[in-house]
Amino acid sequence: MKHRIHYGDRLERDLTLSGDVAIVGTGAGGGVTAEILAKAGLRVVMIEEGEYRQGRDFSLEERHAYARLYYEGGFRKTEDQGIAILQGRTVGGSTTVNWTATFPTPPQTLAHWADAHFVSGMSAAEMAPWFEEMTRRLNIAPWALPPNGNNAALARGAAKLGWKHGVIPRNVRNCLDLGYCGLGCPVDAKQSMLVTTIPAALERGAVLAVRTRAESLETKGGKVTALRCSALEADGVRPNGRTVRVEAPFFVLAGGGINTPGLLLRSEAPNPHGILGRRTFLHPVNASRAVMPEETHPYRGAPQSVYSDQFLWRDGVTGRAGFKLETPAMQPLLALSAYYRFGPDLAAVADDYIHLHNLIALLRDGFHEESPGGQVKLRDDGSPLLAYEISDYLWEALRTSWLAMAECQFAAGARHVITGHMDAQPQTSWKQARRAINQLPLKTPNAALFSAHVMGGCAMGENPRHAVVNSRGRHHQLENLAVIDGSVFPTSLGVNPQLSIYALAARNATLLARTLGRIV
Amino acid sequence: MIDPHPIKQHWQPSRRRLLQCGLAGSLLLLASGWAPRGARGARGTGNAGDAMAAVDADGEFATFNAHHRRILGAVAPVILSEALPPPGPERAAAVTEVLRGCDAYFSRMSLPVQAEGHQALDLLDIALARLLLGGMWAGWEEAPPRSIAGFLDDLRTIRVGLKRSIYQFLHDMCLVGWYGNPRSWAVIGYPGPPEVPRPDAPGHVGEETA
Repeated sequence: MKHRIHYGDRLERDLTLSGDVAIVGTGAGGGVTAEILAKAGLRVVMIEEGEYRQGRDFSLEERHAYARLYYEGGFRKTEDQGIAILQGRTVGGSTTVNWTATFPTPPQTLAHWADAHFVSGMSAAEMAPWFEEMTRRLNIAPWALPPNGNNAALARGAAKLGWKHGVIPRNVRNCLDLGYCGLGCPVDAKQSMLVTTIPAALERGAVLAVRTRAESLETKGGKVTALRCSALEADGVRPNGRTVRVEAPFFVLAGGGINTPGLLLRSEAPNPHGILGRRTFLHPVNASRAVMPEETHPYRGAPQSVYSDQFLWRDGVTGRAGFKLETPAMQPLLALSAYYRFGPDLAAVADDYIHLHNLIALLRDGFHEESPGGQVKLRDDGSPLLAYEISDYLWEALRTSWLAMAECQFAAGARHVITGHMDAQPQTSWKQARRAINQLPLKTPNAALFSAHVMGGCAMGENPRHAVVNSRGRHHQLENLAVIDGSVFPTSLGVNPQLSIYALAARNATLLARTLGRIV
Repeated sequence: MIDPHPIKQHWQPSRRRLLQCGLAGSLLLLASGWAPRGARGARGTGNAGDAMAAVDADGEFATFNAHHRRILGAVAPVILSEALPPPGPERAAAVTEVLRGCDAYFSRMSLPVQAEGHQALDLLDIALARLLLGGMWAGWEEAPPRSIAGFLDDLRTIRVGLKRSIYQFLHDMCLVGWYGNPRSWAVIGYPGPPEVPRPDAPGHVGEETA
């Protein structure tokens, strides 16, 4: 079947699209939802702000990939510039550019949602079939090849210290182990939405509009009546003056954290309890850089294949913030721009590039009253902006994780370690590093902090005073609207989010298909 | 149906952040209104001489104007230092490529983010602002690299949000402009992206270019 794709930058006149369901966003939530609804026989319209770029379009050069495939070229920042956010902006969303780590939602997290956030029907047992279904659909399996240099050092350090660690499951098929997942898979091995659910939906007649930015929902009498969009110029920066109007009896928002709450705020959607955009979580990430005696060649090989959960639940679910230890992708621009010093210090780190080793810690935010998350706001031009403050509670965990990472790197044989903090100096022993890290001043933006996991802002739950949508993703006030993306998570997850979103979307889109089968 | 819809926030980032700086911020706020821009003396004697060709080539840049490029052209050799080729024509050419690279990259960011970067650079173009932010009165073209390094260190190490944000912006732009450029790779031992057989994707939409 010929795919029906509209390119916003090529529109010669305003466009009106109609169908049974309009879906905003083509990432983990939108992609899975589109396939399931299209297979159920519904006429699906997909709206995507980014471009439609595919395997052989990807040059694997960082300067092109980040500028074209990510929000703000990978430098989307929180309001005080304290945290840099990597978030995909292309067909397939972040699934097109993620590093393929794939974990189910931890049972501890699901139990906490039921206990503290009135989420129903999503216990570990109830979710298990959905995880299994998406694991099959996306060919998810523990990585079977040897880890790359960066991950091998994490495994070595963790083993030496007796820490729990394991092999990361990845959503790949015939993977060549290139290590360029973050720049778009050039051989379609990564089972992202770009090569799985979106083509499947297109094959069943779904319509896709790209370079098309959702501006606002029109509502009347507690229902959404239409979605207004702007077509963008080819550079993706400016609207080109053409509009796209989408009319449908049902709407699904799947733009992800920051974007979905932003669209609802711009639309002045009902927000009777003032919670829309609040409780946005990031898994704040800090880093520790080491120089290893061996050549790590950190740019090549699957970027994430080993993890350690030694500290993830160290103090129970609601105690001190736990963290997951992983490694990042390390092509030179990403690896070196995360090092905030300059001049000879920077040149020295660059000289050691093929010996570099980076660890990252993903903090589990949102499980404690001193970790309320951030708040999505709107700039004057209507674009969303996240205010996120690191509380003392999280600072304590950041320091603990810097200590853990340095200890692990020295155990793995590091010559020296540089903590990811502007004031940090290279340290040549664990003892020295421990003293130095304990003395680091802890305020943004001294620390180099990142996030690749935006969650929350449209929390789900059965109590409308605390949640924007119910446990099936249905909006509490707008009857023909659902949110199916990572923005519905009432806390962060404690794991890389893609499989949590896939499974949630598979469940909620299946329930939705049954309902819509009756009403459209 | 609409209720407390809290948050259309006033978007004036540089002003807001300036206010966080207290007295210095107030002075700067005043200065940005009326102060004459810093002297821009004879070119080419200081650091910025490395990038003069690029500074003058207005039509080839999408987002940074000549003032912005003069600043970035002076800062890049200090931030990147020995990572660049040694001083001489090769370094000058490399700095020019840094400017082109970060301009191409930054021009893809959203308009409010581009405006924020422009405001930071406009501020750095004011002598009084430089003096208050990091004790540097001299214009970008005549300031020796040592003064610029001192100024950057001041921005980097003092715990005020505005200064750190400006520092991070300058740092990010220089690194994007250099380590995004294949010319930088051989020295650090990075072989560049692998050659791979490309799938013959249906609906292919064109080759990627900068």
